[in-house]
Amino acid sequence: MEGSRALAEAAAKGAARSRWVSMSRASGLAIMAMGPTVEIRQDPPREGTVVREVQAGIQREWAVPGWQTDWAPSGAPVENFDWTGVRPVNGVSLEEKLEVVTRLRERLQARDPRIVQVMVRYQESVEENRVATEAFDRRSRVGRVHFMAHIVVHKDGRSEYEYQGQGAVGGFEIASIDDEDVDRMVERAVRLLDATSIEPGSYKVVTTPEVSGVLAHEAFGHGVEMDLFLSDRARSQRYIGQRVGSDFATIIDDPAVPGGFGGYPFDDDGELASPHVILDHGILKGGLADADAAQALHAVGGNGRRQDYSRKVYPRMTNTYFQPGTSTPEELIAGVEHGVYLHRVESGMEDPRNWGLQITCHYGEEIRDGSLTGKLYRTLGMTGYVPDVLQSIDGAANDFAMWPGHCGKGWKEWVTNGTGGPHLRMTARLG
Amino acid sequence: MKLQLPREVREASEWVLTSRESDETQLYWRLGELHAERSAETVNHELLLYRDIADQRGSASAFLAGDAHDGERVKTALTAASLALNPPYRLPQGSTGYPAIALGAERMPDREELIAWQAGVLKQIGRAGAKAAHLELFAGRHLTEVQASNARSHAWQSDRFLLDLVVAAGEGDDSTEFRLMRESRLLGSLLPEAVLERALQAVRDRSRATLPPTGRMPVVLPASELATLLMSVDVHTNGQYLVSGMLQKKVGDTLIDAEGDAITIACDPTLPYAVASAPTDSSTVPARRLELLDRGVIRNMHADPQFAAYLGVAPTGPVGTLVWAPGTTASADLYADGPVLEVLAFSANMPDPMTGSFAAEIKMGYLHRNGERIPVAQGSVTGNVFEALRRCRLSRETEEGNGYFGPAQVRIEELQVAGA
Repeated sequence: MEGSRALAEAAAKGAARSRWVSMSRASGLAIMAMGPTVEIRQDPPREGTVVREVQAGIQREWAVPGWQTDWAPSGAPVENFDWTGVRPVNGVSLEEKLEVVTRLRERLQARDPRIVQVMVRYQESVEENRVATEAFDRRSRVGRVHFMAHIVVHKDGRSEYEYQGQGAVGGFEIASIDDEDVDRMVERAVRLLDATSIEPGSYKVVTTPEVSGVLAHEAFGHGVEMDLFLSDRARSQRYIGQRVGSDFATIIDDPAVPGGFGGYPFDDDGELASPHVILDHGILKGGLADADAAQALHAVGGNGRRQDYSRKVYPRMTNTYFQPGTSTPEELIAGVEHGVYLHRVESGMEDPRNWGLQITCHYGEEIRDGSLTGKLYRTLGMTGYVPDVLQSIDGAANDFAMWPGHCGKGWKEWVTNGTGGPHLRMTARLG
Repeated sequence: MKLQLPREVREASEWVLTSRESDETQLYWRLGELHAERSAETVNHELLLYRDIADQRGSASAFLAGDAHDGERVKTALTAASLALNPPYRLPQGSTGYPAIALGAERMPDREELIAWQAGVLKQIGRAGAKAAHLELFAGRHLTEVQASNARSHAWQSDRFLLDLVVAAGEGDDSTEFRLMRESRLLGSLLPEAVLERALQAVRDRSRATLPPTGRMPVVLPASELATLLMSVDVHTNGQYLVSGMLQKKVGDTLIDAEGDAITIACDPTLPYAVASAPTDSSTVPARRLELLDRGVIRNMHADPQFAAYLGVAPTGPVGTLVWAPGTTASADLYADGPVLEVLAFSANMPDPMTGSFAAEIKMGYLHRNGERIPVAQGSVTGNVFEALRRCRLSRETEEGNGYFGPAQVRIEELQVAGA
């Protein structure tokens, strides 16, 4: 019973914040063409009936409004944010959305006889949020679109796949894949049929922006979510101000970066979102906080996010990326005597306490004497000690791309996020 | 939970309404203190509509709110259904019964009982010289009702407990932790003593763990890591993926030509108190056990009414738990002929379900060599699920829980380990 007594005592003392929150409401649509069939599904609405919450002495209770309920005025000045893109999805017909899916499926099906399955998926969501207090009344509409194609090829009893896509905050303008990217996807899938396993060891690697982004996310994204400071799980809290990476390692979390899938104008605590420099040329600068952690640790908030109305707010990343450098990707590859060019993330996992790193890549391409040899390796696990990997970064390219994703804190509390950056070059253990 | 369907539903050729009402309590502890609690009551109604146009069928879903706008939502879904057209199929016809499956206790524990349970776990952890960096417990009761235009309907109650626990020991940079995510239908089976003891042992040993050696060697995986391997079997016995062209093997083909223990796997949605059990699926097909692999040969594909119709078979109902028949080797004998790597947990093993390839960091494990059990961590294990299952030995002891039912341990004869 000690825990609940502590909570009651905190409430009796009176907390600094008094704020009421009107929950978000959201709609989602998914269109999937897989093989010969087509499916249209709505996502479950992220609404509920009644939610009650007590956290750090603050009691909140709210009933979540349905779609048609007007927002009641609070008396405070209204700030409206519309992040629904150039072509908001609500203004695009279902026929047009279905056509973009089926047209790409047909194109891919006809592309190569070794392609045995094509899956094209279009997913959209529009989320309305409102947080109102005596001082402000913030309202947002945020659209997100994720468009991807996935192909499976067969040869001699072996199957491989490759995928391509994009996703970001915005509207229907995001739902496209360049012809060049489509051709590259098909070519790679076919080449993967001859891919082999890599001999485990330490390698010089060049990472694509997709892999670089997941490195930022797993290495020092999760590792600086400040609820982990409060539960004494984050090694990083003891290293603020210290060097943990090379001069090429600058990691930023920015909810407004163009192309980011995880952005928003204000967080689920109502704090305006802003960029945070996590790592500045290798020096660990600070963490990401929700209102609870910000108050407890005298930090800046703006990173409080919940999965949906039914879950608590936690400090979470938005769009996390490495800052670009000045080399070209070709120059990075040219500087590798024997190494691997890593592509396509399958998964990643954080280790905030011990700074272990796991990124599983779908494939990599051998580099010899500064050139790609054409030899592909499949399913590579990149592991290591985070500071060792980050301090080994000896080159950052001048390109930049963002990738969409969904991130769980461990295996729950799923939120959208973006990851990215430039090509990077570093040393890592592969197996 | 009763919802009046709007009259627009009459334009559908068939429909299924699934209504879910949930009441969940969430308790959050941090370093021994209850720092937050929440409760959430939700109701949602998903209406799946089918529309036949000429000789094709389209489907789409709508979420209804029981208000004046439901008609509009149904019309939008009917329009969507008229666009997403596929070869024909029907919901199952005729009356049927549904199995009674125990999916929770008679009474949900109340808030005080949940707090007492958590406090008990914290005490156990404290007695072992460790602490709970974070402990989150979600306890929910759910009412589900399925009703459909084929005159079938069924309602049932289920409970779900979710535990997210991080056990930690040591101080500063020498501290270690081990994370557990557990799910069950009964509070009493959420955290078996043996599971907590393994986590406490891992936390104690992690501080002296070194990298494993690099090389190919036998690897023993625990039950907690075997469930993810079975996802590849699930995909390769999924009728939808066969119809879509993704799979190369069909019923009667050998999926796993075992040199070691034969692989026999069924799917069973009727197991009492199993997390994945349910009396019916969202198409009103009753739950039943289904043999998927019999000594490595595909005996059945699981398929909903749509894909069952395309395959010319009866729909198979909810998938449920993948049940893996055990072997004949005692767990202790799996460590003979070392060195053998015993994985206690991966950081996150997510084999590609289609190709079966995987690569995962060793969160914590032990190298068995010359009679010693040496703690190891980090480094990685890489392999392929199908290759692994071709050459493995299954323990005769079984373990169930957390969505798994099968051998307590499996020895895979050769996997690639990347370490020192």
